[in-house]
Amino acid sequence: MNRTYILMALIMFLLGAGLVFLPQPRNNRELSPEQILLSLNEPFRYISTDQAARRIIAGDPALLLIDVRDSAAFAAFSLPGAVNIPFSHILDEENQALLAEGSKDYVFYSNGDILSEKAWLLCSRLRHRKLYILQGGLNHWVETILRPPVPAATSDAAVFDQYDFRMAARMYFTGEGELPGMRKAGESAAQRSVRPIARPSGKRKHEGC
Amino acid sequence: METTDRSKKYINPYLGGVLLGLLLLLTVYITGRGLGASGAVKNAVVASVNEISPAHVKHNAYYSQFISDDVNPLNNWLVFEVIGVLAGAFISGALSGRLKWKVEHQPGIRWRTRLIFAAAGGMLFGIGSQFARGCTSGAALTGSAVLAAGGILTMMMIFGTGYLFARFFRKLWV
Amino acid sequence: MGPLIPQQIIDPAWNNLIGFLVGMCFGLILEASGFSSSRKITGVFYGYDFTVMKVFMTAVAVAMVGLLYFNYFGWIDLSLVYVNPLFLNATIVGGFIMGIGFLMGGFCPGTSFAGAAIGKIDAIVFSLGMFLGILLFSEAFPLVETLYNAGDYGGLTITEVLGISPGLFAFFFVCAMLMLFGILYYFRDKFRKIEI
Repeated sequence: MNRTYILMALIMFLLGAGLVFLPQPRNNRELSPEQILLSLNEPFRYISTDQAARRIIAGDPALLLIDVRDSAAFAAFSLPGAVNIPFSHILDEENQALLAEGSKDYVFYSNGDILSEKAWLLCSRLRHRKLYILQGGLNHWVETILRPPVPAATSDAAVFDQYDFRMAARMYFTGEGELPGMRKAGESAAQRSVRPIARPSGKRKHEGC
Repeated sequence: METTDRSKKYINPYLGGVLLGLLLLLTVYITGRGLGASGAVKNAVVASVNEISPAHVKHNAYYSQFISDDVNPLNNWLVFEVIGVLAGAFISGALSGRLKWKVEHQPGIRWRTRLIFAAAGGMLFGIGSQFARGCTSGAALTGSAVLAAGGILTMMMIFGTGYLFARFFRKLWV
Repeated sequence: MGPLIPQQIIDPAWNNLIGFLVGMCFGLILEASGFSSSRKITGVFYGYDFTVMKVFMTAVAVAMVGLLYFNYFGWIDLSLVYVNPLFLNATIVGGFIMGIGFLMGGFCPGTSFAGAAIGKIDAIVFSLGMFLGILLFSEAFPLVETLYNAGDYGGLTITEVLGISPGLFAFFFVCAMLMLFGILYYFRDKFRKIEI
């Protein structure tokens, strides 16, 4: 009886000791092409301009906007709270360290979304998590948030709600009330104060044990 | 080591441990996640509340994480795993003649006391497992095996608290 | 190669059947090791029965070492394995609550099912209590949401925290375990035995 225990303990000890000397393969650091393809088909990697606006207004601490344009463009115009990581510097050590923290939702944006797509692809391949792309980039931001088109009178309530939100957001971001030559104030949403917008709950699903 | 007549009915704990470890290894190999138990109860809770009041589930920030329109929360592998646990334990109990309705308690306390404390303990375990994202099997056992910091912390917290506060509950057990 | 289901080598439709089979083995092992008895379990805290510690530590060590060897031989991609996210504050609070619950109830969720299956009424009551506890937690969620989400470190591993290689950590773990078992064996006569 006793001998069996000693033998088992010895085997366990040797197996454990073996691990100290065996190098753990690090070939898993990068995603395989198949995995990238899989994640590229994932629609959740986009954040719409409306979602982003809501979260910026709510002051969501879990949101980090990353401007991947060059620093001149960043200096000229950027979203509130964004940090600038020019695309050419994205692999720099300190920038990678920032992404590796994984404690926030990292949202890439550029003028369109070509550059941010590239940044997303590169960083996803390096297995950073919680990466997103601002859908349509700053161009879409201007089209939807800064100059929202007035919906047709026949649109349903949801569209008007969205419009009201956008007008409120516009006021928040620009400080301007009305759009020149657009819908007259009256009951316009521009006069409404920005409603507090709750942060979407359940950002990630945690399976219990 | 364990050669008294009573404990002979149970398998050697080290053998049990090796078997459990191999099972865990196999489970992780197949499913990419480990064993669990409290998650199934959580799904059962979500399913029951959803049955009574779907609107409430949609409204509650906690339930709504675990519900989707097309999948029943009971259609989850953890739920099936727990059904399996019941079946497996029943088989083992039947094989070694341990099937018996019984309230197991220390002779010095009444069975009612035991049941009250069992209910209270279960409740605390339910609450705690939600905070820690798993219980002894899901977080502590599996988590430690995959080297998750959360799992190892959970293990240390459960057993550390157990040892620190054991003296206050001594009457219940010894 | 592995893990099989996340890589779609086995169709996820098999999930539930595999879950059932895995659960069955789990239940068998738990019951056969004596985890269907609350007094046997709590013995670990009062020094009259160390089954829980022996089974638990051995299982963790075997699985941990096994996974690292699997990873070394390329049979499993450990980066695809689910690592429980660490929520520091929530885990400390939750672990504490569970520790007290363990002392009061004498079971943990998995073992309570094993006990319930062979007719232990205290185990059934424990499971019902657990149901109530989770219900309570969910209903009171808005009150505890901040704590629940506090200290989010994501899927952090212990080797990232300590800055050592996984192999070295596993080796330390195995050594600590063997030492502990040695101590238990050496002082085996010093521990009080009680009739359960």
